[in-house]
Amino acid sequence: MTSSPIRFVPGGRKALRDWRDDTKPLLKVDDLHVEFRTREGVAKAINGVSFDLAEGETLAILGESGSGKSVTAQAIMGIIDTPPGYVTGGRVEYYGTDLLAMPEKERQSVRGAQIAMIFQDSLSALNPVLPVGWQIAEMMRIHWGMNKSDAMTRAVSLMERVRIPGAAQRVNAFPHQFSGGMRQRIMIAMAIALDPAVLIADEPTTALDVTVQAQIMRLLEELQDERQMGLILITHDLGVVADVADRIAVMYAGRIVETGGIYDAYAAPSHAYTRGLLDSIPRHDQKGETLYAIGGLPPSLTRIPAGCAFNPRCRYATDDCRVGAPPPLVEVRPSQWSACLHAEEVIADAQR
Amino acid sequence: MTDIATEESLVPTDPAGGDDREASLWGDAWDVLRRNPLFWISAVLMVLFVVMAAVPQLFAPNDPSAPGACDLNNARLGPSAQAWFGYDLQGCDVYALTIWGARSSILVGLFTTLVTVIIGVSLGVIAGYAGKWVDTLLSRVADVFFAIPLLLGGIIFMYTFPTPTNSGLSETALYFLIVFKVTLAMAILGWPGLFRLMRSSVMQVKPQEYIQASRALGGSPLRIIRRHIIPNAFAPVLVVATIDLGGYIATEATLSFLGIGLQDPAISWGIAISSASQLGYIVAAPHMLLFPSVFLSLTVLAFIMMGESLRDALDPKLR
Amino acid sequence: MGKYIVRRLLQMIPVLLGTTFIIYMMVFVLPGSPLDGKCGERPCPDAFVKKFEEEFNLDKPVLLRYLLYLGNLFRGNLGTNFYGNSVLDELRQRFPTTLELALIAVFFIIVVGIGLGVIAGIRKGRFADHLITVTTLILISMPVFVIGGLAQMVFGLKLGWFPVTATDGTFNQLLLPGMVLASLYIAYVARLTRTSLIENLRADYVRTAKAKGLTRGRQVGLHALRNSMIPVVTYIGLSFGGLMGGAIVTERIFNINGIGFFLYRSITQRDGVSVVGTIALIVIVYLFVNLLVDLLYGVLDPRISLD
Repeated sequence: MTSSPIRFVPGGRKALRDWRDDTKPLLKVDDLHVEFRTREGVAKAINGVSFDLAEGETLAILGESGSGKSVTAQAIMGIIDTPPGYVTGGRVEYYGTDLLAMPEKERQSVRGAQIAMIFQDSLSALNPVLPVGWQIAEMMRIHWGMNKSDAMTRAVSLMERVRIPGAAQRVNAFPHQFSGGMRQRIMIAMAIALDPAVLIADEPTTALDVTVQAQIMRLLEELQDERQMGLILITHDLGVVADVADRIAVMYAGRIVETGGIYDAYAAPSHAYTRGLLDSIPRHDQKGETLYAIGGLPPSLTRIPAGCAFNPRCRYATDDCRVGAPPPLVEVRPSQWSACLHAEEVIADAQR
Repeated sequence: MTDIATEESLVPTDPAGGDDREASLWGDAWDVLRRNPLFWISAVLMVLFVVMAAVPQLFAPNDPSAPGACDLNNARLGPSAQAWFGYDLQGCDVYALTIWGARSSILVGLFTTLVTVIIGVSLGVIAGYAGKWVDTLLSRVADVFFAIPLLLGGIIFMYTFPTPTNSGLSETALYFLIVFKVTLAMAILGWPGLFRLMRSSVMQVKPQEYIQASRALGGSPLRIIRRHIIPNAFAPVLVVATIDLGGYIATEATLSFLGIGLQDPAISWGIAISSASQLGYIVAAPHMLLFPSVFLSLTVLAFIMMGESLRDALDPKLR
Repeated sequence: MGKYIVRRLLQMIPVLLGTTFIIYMMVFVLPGSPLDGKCGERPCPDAFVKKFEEEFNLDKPVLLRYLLYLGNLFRGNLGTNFYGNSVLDELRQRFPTTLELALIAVFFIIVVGIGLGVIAGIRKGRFADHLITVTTLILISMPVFVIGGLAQMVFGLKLGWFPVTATDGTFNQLLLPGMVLASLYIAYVARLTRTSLIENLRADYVRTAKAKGLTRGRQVGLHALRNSMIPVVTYIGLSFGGLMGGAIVTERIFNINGIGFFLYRSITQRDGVSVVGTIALIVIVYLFVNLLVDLLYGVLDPRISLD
């Protein structure tokens, strides 16, 4: 594996040096609030999310659709459409600089270059009428002012790096001419084109076959390792992230309800919701048994229940869970945080 | 005159059946419509023009085509207290002419739409339901008619069947003969749009499970079409037909303007505008041009606006 | 791509045969002498009847007659009217004027129509959008002869900004008629551009463009607009048939000596050969324009060539 032609190019990590500050975390999200103002009312999509991410670290954000995991990613990228979406509070710090307070022009130079993102459906996420190589080269041309032929040359080497066979011949092909897995590789090539410090992957493998899923995850892991990127993996599928992630943050109704090391959370979940998610993964040793599914539906974000938002679906719920402010994240065991009032009970159940 | 954007996009993408969904579609649509001022404006205009066409006496008591209704001494006089819209070349009251002119436009518009809906919907259902060679044949035939521009085809048709000038027919019979001809000319060229819409609608619904189930249970094709296919396609057909109606009125007026549609002594906005738009008269008597033009445009506007309001209300995708 | 062209060409053949057949049937086979009322007010002169019967092979069986007619059509022989003039010559002489008028109209359609559509699309729900949506709705509701008459009255006579008629067909004179002819399609194109742009602005790849750190201008102007133009360009191409219909009216109003005016005059003079020949030619050209548009569609949208 020769990574040298990709890594040290003008503007790559060199530009990063302007930002880099070893005393500050790579990415720090602090008390983030996002809401969507629609005709049906105000949907509170994110209600005080905080976490940080170090270089070379992988954080998995887990949750059902509507839990706010994708919105969190979009808020970090600054690509929420306003209206209807508004970031109403909090900070997103990149090496200590608050991105939310940054003028749009400067923010644009961070987007894609310092923090890049991969989307779920690569067919609709790539522009259907432009050749894939052109779309990758656009990154270098816009951010680095590279000329067209140099940018195309680099686009080919990026396509080779993500292991697209016959990259040089296929650089002028259109997105629909690739398979789903190959298209997702192109998305990845585009995202890593400027050697970003943070990579956000929003359900990167959901639309793919199981075998292809594994290949893509391996590629992401490898690229992260090679570049020491901070990687945020957003998914609803616990199985996908188990081998890759260092830490996990479980989201429900716009809040993080449990966070900690991935092994702790797997071995002994400390929130009833995490427990439910784990129970609903099909397992080989339980063939023939009825698969568990969390009853009910996620709450409407315009009417989030009082107390713990999960209480209507929770088998541990007591009256305490149904009133007042949502329970805060509490360190229930060393570096395992839970927002469940019955955390001890849930852990005890898991250890039984 | 058909907005190409409407036809393909109107076919519902998820035509799940069931009366509940049907009911809620119309319920939701009504909620949206009620709050849309354009809907109310077009509804009021439509009612106004339809009443005008049915009983012009309500607005202008004197039939301008009756003998002695016009006085050459008044020719080209401008608007006054006696004649709000002034007088035309023959000294006829432009207001009365304009009111009585609504009838031709509305008649032709309604008839043409009716015929295109009947032809388009039935052939579309047959093609979509039968498939195979029936579909191929009907689709090719539709292509042929679709390929002839409405106005040009209308000219050829009207030209091929000239109206007998001294046939001894009464004036009323002659009037309806011409209305019938114009209707036929436009209907022949106008149906393929609805045909294509209906056909794709049927083809989309046909593979659905509940239709298959209904078939398996021995439902007759007619019943399946009536219970499942027609209700599902009704909304888009209504929208396109309403917008088309406006287009037919405009085309009829254009044919009359070119002297090949309705002819004197029939009263029509197209004829009135045609005679008013001779250069000399535009300067001397602009009122002759203005008032029929405004009425004609308002009528077309009413139908197109109604169609668009319905589309916005019935197609959740566009909201 | 090659397969696509061949398929489109093959599909066009039945349509071409069908349309010419219908026109032919209407004029030459339906009951009644094909010359009834087609030589002005008087009966047709004998010499003309004889020539006509010869030219259109009225003594031969129907199908053969149709085939011969078709052959003539493709050789550009559109017949000779009862003035003894070749219809093709008449048209050829007037073609440049109509072409110029149409090009002026297309220019306005592209610049004004797409421009307004883009403004409305990116300002969706704001004042500019409502203004453009309502204005275009009104334009669509006004038949071209109404707009023509009003434009002539206001801009030609009252304000004197433009020549009132365009008898000589100079560029200056054709400017106002060109705008009148374009008006309906400006409105349609503006609305189509708006809808298409709004739809594409919501597309995932625009979000990707944003995430790439591109400016709003580049997201809209390059990524979204490029995709939005596919249906618009197609529509502009397909509007050719309507544009020719509009040209009849526009040329009549502004006294422009083009193909449309020739058709109008032929109608009023009941010159059957000219009317049928002209319309047959326009329809055939229209079909070929449609084919070109289809091919253009294949170029604009790379996805098309696969299926």
